[in-house]
Amino acid sequence: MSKALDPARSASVSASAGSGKTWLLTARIVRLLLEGAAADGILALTFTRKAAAEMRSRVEERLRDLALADDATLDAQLRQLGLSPDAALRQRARSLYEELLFHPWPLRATTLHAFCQDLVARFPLETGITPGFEVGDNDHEFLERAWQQLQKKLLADAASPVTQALNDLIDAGESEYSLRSWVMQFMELRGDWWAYTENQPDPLAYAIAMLEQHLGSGDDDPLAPLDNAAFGAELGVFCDALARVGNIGTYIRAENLLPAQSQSGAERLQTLLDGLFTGKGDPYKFKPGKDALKILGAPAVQRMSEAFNALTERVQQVQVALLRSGALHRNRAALTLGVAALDELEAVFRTHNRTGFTDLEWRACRLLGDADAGAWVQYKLDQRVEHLLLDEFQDTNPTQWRLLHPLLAEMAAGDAGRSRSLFIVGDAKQSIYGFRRANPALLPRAAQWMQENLGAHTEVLARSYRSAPAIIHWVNALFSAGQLPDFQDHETERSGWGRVEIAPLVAPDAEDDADEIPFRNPLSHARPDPENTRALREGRLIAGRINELVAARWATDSADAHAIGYGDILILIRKRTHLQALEQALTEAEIPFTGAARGTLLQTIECRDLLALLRFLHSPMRDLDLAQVLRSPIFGIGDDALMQLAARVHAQGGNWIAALEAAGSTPLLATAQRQLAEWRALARRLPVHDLLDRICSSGNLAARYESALPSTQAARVRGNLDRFIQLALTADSGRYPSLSRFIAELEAAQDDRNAPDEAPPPAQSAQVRIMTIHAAKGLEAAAVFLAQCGPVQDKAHSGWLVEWPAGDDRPSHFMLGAASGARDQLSQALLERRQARETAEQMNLLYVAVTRARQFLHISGFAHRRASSAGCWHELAGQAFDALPGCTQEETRRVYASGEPSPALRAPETPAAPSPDPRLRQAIDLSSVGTTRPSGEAAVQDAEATDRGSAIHWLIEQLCRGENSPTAARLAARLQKTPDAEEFAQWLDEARALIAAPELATFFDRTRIRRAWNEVPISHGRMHGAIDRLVDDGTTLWVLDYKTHRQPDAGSLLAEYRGQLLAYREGVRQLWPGRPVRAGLVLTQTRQWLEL
Amino acid sequence: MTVSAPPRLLSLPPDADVLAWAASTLVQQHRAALPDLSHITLIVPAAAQIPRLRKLLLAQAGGALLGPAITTLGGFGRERSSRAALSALDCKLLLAQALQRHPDLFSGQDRWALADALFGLFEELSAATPELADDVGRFLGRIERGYGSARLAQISQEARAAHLLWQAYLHDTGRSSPAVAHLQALTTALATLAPDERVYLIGHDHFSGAEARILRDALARQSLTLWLQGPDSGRGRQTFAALLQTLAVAEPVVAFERDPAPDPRARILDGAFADDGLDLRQRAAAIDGTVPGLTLVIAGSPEHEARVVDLAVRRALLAGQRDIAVVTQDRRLARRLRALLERAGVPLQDEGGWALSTSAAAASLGHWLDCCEQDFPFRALLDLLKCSFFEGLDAVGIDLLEGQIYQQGIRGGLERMQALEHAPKPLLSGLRRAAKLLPARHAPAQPGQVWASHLIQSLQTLPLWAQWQTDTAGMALATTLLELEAALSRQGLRLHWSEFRSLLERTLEQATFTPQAAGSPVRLLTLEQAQGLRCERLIVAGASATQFPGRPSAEPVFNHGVRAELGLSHWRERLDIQLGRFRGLLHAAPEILFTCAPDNEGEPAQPCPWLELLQTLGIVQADDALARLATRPEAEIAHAQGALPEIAHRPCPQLPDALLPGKLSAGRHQSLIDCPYQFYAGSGLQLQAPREPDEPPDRRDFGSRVHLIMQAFETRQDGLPPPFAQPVTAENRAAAAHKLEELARAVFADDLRNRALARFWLREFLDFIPDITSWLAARSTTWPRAQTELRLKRALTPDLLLHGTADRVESRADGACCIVDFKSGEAPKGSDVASGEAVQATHYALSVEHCVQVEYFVISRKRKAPVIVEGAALQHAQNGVRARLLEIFSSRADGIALPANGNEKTCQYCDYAGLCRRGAWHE
Ligand code: SF4
Repeated sequence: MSKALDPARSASVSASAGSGKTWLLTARIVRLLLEGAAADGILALTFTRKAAAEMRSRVEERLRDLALADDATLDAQLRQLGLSPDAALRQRARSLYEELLFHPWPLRATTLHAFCQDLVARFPLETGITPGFEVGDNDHEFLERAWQQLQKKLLADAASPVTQALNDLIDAGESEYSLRSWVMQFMELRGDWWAYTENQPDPLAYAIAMLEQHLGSGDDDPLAPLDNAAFGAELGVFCDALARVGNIGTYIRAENLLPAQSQSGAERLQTLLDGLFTGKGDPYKFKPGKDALKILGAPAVQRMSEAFNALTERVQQVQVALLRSGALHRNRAALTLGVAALDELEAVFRTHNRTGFTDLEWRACRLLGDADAGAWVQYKLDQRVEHLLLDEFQDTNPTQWRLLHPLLAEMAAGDAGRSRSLFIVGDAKQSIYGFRRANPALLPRAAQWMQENLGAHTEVLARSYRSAPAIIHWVNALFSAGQLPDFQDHETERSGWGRVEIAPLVAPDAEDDADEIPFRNPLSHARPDPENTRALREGRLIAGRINELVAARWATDSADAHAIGYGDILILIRKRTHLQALEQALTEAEIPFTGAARGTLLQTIECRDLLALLRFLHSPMRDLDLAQVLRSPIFGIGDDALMQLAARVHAQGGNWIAALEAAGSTPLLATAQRQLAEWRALARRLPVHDLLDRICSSGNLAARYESALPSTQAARVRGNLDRFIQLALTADSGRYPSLSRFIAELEAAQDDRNAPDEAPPPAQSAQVRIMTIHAAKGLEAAAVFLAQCGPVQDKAHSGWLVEWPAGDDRPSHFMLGAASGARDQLSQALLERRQARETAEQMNLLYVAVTRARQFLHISGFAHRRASSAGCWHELAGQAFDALPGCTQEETRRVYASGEPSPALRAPETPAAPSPDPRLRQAIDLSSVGTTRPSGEAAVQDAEATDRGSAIHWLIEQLCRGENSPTAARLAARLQKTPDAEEFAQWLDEARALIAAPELATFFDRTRIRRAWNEVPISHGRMHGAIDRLVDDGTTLWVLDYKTHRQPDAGSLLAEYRGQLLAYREGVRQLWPGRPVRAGLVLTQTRQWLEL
Repeated sequence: MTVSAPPRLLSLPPDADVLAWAASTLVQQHRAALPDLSHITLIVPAAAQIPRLRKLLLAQAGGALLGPAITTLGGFGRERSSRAALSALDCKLLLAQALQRHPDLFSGQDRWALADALFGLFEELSAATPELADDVGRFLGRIERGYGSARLAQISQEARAAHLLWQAYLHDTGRSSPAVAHLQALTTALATLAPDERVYLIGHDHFSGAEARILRDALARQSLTLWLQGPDSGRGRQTFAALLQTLAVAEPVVAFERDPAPDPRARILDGAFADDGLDLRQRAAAIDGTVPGLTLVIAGSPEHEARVVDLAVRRALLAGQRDIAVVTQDRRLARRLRALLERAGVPLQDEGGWALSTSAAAASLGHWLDCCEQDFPFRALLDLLKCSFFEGLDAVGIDLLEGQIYQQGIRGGLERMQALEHAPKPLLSGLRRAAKLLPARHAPAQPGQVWASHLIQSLQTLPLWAQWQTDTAGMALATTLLELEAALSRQGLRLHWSEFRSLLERTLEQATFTPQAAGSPVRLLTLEQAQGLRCERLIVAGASATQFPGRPSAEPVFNHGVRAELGLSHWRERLDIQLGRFRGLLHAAPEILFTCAPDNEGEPAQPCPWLELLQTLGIVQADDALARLATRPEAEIAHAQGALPEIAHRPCPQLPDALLPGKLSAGRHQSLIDCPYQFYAGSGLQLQAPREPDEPPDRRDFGSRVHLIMQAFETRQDGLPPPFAQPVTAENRAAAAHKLEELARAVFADDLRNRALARFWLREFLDFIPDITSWLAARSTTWPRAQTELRLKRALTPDLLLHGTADRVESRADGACCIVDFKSGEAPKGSDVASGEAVQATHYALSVEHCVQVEYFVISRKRKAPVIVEGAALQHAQNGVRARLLEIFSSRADGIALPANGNEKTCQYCDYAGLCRRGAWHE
């Protein structure tokens, strides 16, 4: 039994892939609850919403099982959790599920970001954020806006220090492109920046001072040492001697060097560099020949040699100093601009009441880290943190560690009577989020801290519950050679068959050089694309093997032991660069697949078509968009028809829509014409979502795309179209829903890091999944194909170099690196350390990839023409085979296997689908239903008329009730707004005049009335309404409806309200059967009675 | 139960049909007065219940009925009130002013946002504990009790700040804020009832503390009757029980007498929600029998959920049901559902309100504000002209204007647009006049009313204002603007434009409009509106934990414990109320479908916990068949369509002679080699991707400026200094450099004025001048004559003319010439030129006589060596390229088949992927 389950003790666990981390985590939560911890005191944090949601549902599932289990099962479950069942425990176990369901403050299993968001939202005043702020996954758009704002400021104020900084960079020969990327990256790194400069009154000055200190350089002129007297003297000695001998060796020549004596500064440096150094920057060898010895004599040559050394050494020192000084100047300017951009970002966020997760993290970090506020936070939160559980700890970044640290420290400080605990679990080997600033070194650091401060138990889990022995042995062979530091051999609980295969690297072949064919005819030959061709060949190899595997019908180790099918296969890729080639190969082999590539929804052809359609509907002059729409399955018009339209445009001028409107010669063109006209009209008045829904529905788009697209794409098209429509609902939370805004948002989103994903394929279809390794983290599959294991070409690095040692409160370095020629020693060292971390992370990525496989793992890759294959994944994998005894060769593959795969007895079942009611395909005919509300039929009036109407109705009612002086205040209460005094007087006059009008005395003279009702509701049959005034004069019942129109047109009003009056009259007749009822309109302005 | 003398204070359980019971009881009680019940006032929790109650009364009374008045508690007070309350907006403005007076209280905060956030708190405080307003000590004491600590400085700081501000609020609002006014109105209304008037409250489950006290007193005076409904047992009963206890002081509570053999659903559900100490297993065992009609679908995504609801509604309609209710709190789902049902021709009677900011009318206002704010950016202007509320220019006129804007690359500025040849001048002048009505946006702070009234005036001069009156949201928008103007004029705030705009946007976020409800068989209600609901078929959509019960709100001041201590609404109370309503909802229809979906696709869905309990107990059954059916195309509305399109293949159109260009430029020639289909689209169909006027300048623009400088160096160009006009030599290099600099400064002047980063361009060029002058000096000896931007043309065949504009053509005495192309980006590789893959230079060479050399001269900070092809290599390339062109065009009379043959790199930068359908071919 794992000690890490014991909730009384804090624990840190390092859990290898597949070793039951999630089980442990949820089991610990259940133990906590079983042992009396309050649900609202438990906080379990992880990094993705999906992981958090899964954690919650697993805990719930376990509790449900406990609640419903019979005694024997319950006891077994409790024992599995390391508990000895007794009556009290059983009772608690059975009650927990419901307790949790009805708990007002449920168990918090959430993401760290959501925790920060919640925290900051509860402390807006303390954290200085605007209450009610919004937060989104992506702040790229806001960074971009900040950058635009900054540019405006730079333009407006030529004398500001920020503009000066820009000019410095321009003068230093930097490019616009670099500047933009530095500024954007600086804003992205703002969390590090804030930590680096925390509590500094002038962060910029502080950063520059630190840099000066680190670089060991200040504002001194680095060239000065070349101009001082001592150097001049050495140069004199050397040049005098050189002048006498003419040259030393081939390269050190008097004519090149002598001018240096009369030069200074940069010019002198250049002469010395040209005269004394090779192109690579090394000093020439000083080898005086015999002639020199003869001319100068040995002592002078010796002196000359000393001068040479002194000169070259000094020049080299100056060069280093120049690089340092360059770095300092560049950093000073870039930091100035970066800080200015951050100010703009803050302003942009404030304007939009938005913030980013980085900002939330930092604010939360400051809040929790504030010694004074710590206790306050605990009191103010409705839920305190008593037991903290942290999942995937290797993904923690330094800010997050800093943020958590005060909570941990508070736990360590202890509080009498409170039982508290901490549990962390992670795996440094699976740390693959360096680009999100994750630092795996924090995991051992935290474990150590916990041991020292909380007496925490430490545990390593290296027993897999996932992978077959063959896979585990192979993984051990792969990593025990030291590629992963502290790798501990894995064991496995599994015993079934397993198999690892490696295919040889796809090598460049003769075909690849085909681009040398001179004067290729493009009509018959496409331009060759060697790398893509190799990727395609690798794809075909994978596709072939997949089909063999599926045909072999080997049984999976799942409960139903079904045969490996497409749905059990995962293809992992490192990057998306050659995704298309891989997809093409699978399509050719008719393998159903889903490219679970992230963020590609807007790149799908159907979404691009819809975007083109929207652009066209917004601007009908966009010919290319129109042509695309015509050509797409929306209309399915072929090139022939396009050429017809083009011919018409050529002949008659104008644009394509005009040509289309004039054409209509074929049914397809006629349909396009009609439908586009319809959609254009709708586009003017419908919000985007409704427009898109109409288009998709009336254009039968899903079916049309399904018919036109290759099957794998067709399977996703319905989901993708729906997602596209959903985007219109979510864009800017549905605010200001204009077409052009939506188009702009989509265009911006196309390049976003968090662009929307494609829809997954319908659940029942079994498809191979293609995923990046990053996306596959946390997943597993019976069969895994790891593709693209050949060499990768490293991209050159530049940009900001931030180093934050694990456990420190702040980064130790924050500086802008430089291109290789201009790089100072410090940035070189920082860069090398960063590269070392990245290389280590590549190994983690390999570990994550291979440990996704349960039973079958296939490795492949293709070679590069230029990059060497040494050290690539494929080579490492090959070495693992070398290290394992018992590998075999099958065709070109090497195989390491254990156990015999057994053929499955049955294929996975697909449930038979019910046949739907055919009427569901048709619109529904709704015969008139519901209640009629006569007064609802009136035309919509403007706000002013409505106010006037309500006011006069009310005033008449008051006067009729005997209230002779109704006040404006009371009317205001009624209208919910204060009327203008003059208007009120007019309305009151109008109402009084009406009541007093002799021609209307029948209705208002109390002496002539037996009874009257004002604003009285009336119902009969399906009619419900309110009569303005109903009068009973003893003989006749009069139904009055007031109309307050300023210039009433009696005829049309009567016509308009006829239906309503008839309905009222009928109602009153039913109330007083047999009595005469008369109904009509009373025009308040003209005091007229218009009888029906 | 017999209703000879109905009790004054009655508690009905969640399963009772309170409206039906009330209707029958009332009619029996007032039978003598029938058909005139106009002396009775009935107060229900939500206006959505009124129509049903009317129907029930009518059914009980038979024939026809006069009265009774039916209203809500708020409406009842308002109708009888003698004082107008301040609007919420007024109160917020006052609060913002108070915050300005106390800058130390919440320093660093945006006062508008804070005013928004604190308004609710102060309203509740004013209503619940007015007595604490003058006693900061007691106030603090309560807060410390709520937090469970008296030690912390922050607690007293927070409490004192809130108290001070609250006092200011009460003072400034003159106790006329909405909540206070509501209570006053209610008190007065209940105290001044006519002698024969009867008031009944029907179906309420909750009142604010202050309301409850007022009702208690009225009850004691026998002025009203209260028939409440809520859980009297089991889960969620505490809050309701507390309400009954409060009221019971005035009148004993009578419990509703249940049918001795209650409906099995009620019995089973009571068992499910019991908290009688039995554990779940025991309760599950005690549940005998099943509850038919309660089903659940856990959808895979929000879209799937919307489809399930749509399908369930349509199936119910097809089954003849005509009283269908959808209860949801999820507005996004509501919107989606409305659209899906519209596909089937089913309107949705939507009783929930929409934020005004989500309306098309608000979007049109946004366009106008953008126009005024930034001097008519072209997008905002076109959006304004195109929106349906602006009928100033017909489609042809808009197209014409848009075409010119794109052609000339006009980013904005009304003056520039007015100067366009076909500009709709009167319209634009009208817009200018309207925009001028607003003070300049950089003007110093103005009284807020000035901004508002000028904005309204400007809108009134446009077609917008009038057109809004034809639209529900538009009308609400106009009203909201007028109200904003009035509130600003009452409160006399001074604002900057940006503050005014953000205030306006906040106001539009908070204001709502309700689309006019048509008589539809399908109603959409919120949980609150669904109190007392009865219908044929109910769908509770969005029944996930995030909606039911939702999450406790994050309040900037005080936590929920403190709120409870202060008598303000708080989370536990809300939770109880929600659960009570949920329990009531379970009896609203014989068949109820619950649906929920995960917040994000791919995550497990989290159903409402109460629903989960019912599922665990087997009371609610999963309807997997419905879930599956909703994903099937056969369950979607189909529109009659022609034949479906065929599967797409790699296209290879045969471009006829008539569409084949007679002239071939270097660019087109390259495109033909890169991908024939690209050539087909660009040259045959003559389709081009338009360049957006506001697209940021890029390297191409730098290139065109550089070309201009080089051209102006040789020949005079309009608006630029005179050319150098002599060969560059070692002697005059300095002067040449000076000239180039002069020209560069002139050419980049516009850019420098408009874009801070244009200085990069200037610097890059200036840095390169020494290279240019030495290059020019070197060439002037070998190639003494030079012409720039020279148009070349030469017939390759009688019907194919090669043409182009060479950046520089140099020649020497023997008539041989060299063509130079200036590149500001990448130059092609020499090997690609030689093998005919990069054809630009060869194309030029073919377009002139006697070209012996072509050179790409790279003007870039990267300082690449020029790429030179000359002599035999050039000749070879020319021959090859010529032969290939002849071969390609040899069959032009029959048309040329142009396949889509681009490779990855070509396709990456191609504008025609949508036309060739790359990525959708079946190969
Ligand atoms: S996308 Fe590629 S294949 Fe299609 S036209 Fe462009 S270059 Fe040719």
